[in-house]
Amino acid sequence: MTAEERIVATINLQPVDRVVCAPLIEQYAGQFAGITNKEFNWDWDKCMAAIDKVHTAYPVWDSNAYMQHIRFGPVARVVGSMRAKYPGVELGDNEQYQMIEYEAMTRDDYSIIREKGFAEYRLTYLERVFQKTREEVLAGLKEAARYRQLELDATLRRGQSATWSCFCGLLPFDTFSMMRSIDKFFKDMYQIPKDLEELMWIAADAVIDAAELGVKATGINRVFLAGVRCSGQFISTKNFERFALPYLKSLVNRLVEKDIVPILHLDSDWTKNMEYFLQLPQKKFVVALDSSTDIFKAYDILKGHCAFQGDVSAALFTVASTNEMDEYAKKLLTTFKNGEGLMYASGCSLPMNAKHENVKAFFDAVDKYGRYN
Amino acid sequence: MGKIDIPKAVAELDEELVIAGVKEQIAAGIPAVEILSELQQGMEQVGKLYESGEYYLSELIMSADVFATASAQLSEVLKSDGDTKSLGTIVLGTVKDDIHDIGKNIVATILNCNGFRVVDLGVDVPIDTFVAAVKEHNPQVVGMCCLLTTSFDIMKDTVAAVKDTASSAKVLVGGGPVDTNVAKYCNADDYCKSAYEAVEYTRKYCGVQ
Repeated sequence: MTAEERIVATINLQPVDRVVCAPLIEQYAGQFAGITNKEFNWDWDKCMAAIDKVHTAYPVWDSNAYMQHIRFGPVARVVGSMRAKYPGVELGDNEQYQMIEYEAMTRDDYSIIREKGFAEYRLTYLERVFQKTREEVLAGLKEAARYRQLELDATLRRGQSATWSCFCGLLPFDTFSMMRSIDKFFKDMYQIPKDLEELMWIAADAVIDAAELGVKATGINRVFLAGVRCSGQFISTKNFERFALPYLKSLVNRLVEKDIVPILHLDSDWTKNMEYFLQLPQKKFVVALDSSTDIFKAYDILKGHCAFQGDVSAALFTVASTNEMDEYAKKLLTTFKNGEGLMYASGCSLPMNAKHENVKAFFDAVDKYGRYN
Repeated sequence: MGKIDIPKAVAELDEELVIAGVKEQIAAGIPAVEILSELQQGMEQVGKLYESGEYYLSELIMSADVFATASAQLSEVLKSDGDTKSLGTIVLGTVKDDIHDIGKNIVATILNCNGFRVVDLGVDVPIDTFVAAVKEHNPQVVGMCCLLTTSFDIMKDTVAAVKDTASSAKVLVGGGPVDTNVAKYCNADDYCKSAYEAVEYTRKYCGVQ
């Protein structure tokens, strides 16, 4: 099977020759290649060469959950999702970038969203967060699209599938939570719930638009859609059913109607919410878990309903022994049977400071436990 | 007690009613420490609702906000009444090289609302600052957090340095990528998956029933 055939079959819960291997390599690649994180995040050629080097060492890595085009300094510092401190600028040359959450969106901004829509508001938001002009923001968005294409080209040249075509955003709950900051957002949820509901529907429309644009530009019908703070780790099922589930269902259904497959990147602990995913269309989406959710409970609930991406923890990459890594990988790769839709991956990003021997053990497990032919 | 049931209003996250209740009691000449005690009773009810699974982190954050707004009404009166007693002291901070503060702030606020004295060292806290704070404040508990995996080693060194001060303080760790394996790696006494677990462990180590 080609890498693309393998990921498509996996999402369709069909048998494959071997498990899809789709870790989020990100900043680890720079460390693996022996360059600083400053070089990785500011020099595109070095960055791509570093990722090539990881693939050369581990050709079993067949699906690129790629995201460097939005993490790349010249893009992230103009049109990134949040303000951030970057290596070589505010941080030391080999430090990890760090997002800064603050009340970048105020309640007063809600009227702008109502009047002008979310896409227009986002431009205003970017101008404010990154202290840029409208022209600079628009140029930044073009650059983001250009780097996305370059990264996609590199992915396909390596013979990998692209796990997704683009980042089409977050669930509206998370978009507002991160723009408003968590405590301000929760206050809105209690004090102006109806306003929030209305506004989140407006933001949902922008997610669909972004997904369509990304799919059209890349020709790949899978999109990254994230959720973090509407899980059972943060909010009650009652609030989930009011402020998150309707949007989740609507977004997934609308994307599926357009033949787009959402890869639902679910950070934090969603174990209590897994039953709700049975309400989404079968074999039309992927649940990507970061190791906070119990993937084995999720498997018991959703087996036969959707594919999974995950979920080797940051701790297994950084502080565990290679034996512990191998044992977990074996459990994961033997629990999910062929045709049950596992995309074997790191839980969220593979840590920059992962032990190289643990990364090797992670990849070695594909041949040891994830081959079916 | 005044006409407004402050503990109930706190538990129901009704900020306007809580503030009205506090104003009502101040006007009636009720001592500030007693009003504060009622606010804390409300927070205890919130804690019980959290333990029973009815409330979640969002309610904890909201209740802490209600508590902070309401207790701000008392700050001047409390000063004139003298210091209030705390159930124990915790030194808290995000370890060196990590600037993330959301989780730490939530933990600090909720511990504070539950009657603990929190010495919040902020973010990007050097090892020496933790050590100096432990020597100065003699806490029962030291809490550390990080969101970066690259901070695990610094967290481990910080735990070691705190334990080397000969303090009997217990060390709790938490944060996005932290789990029991990381806690073990750092030689911490316990791992807190949630803000409320931090309260529970702090209660335990401060000998609070």
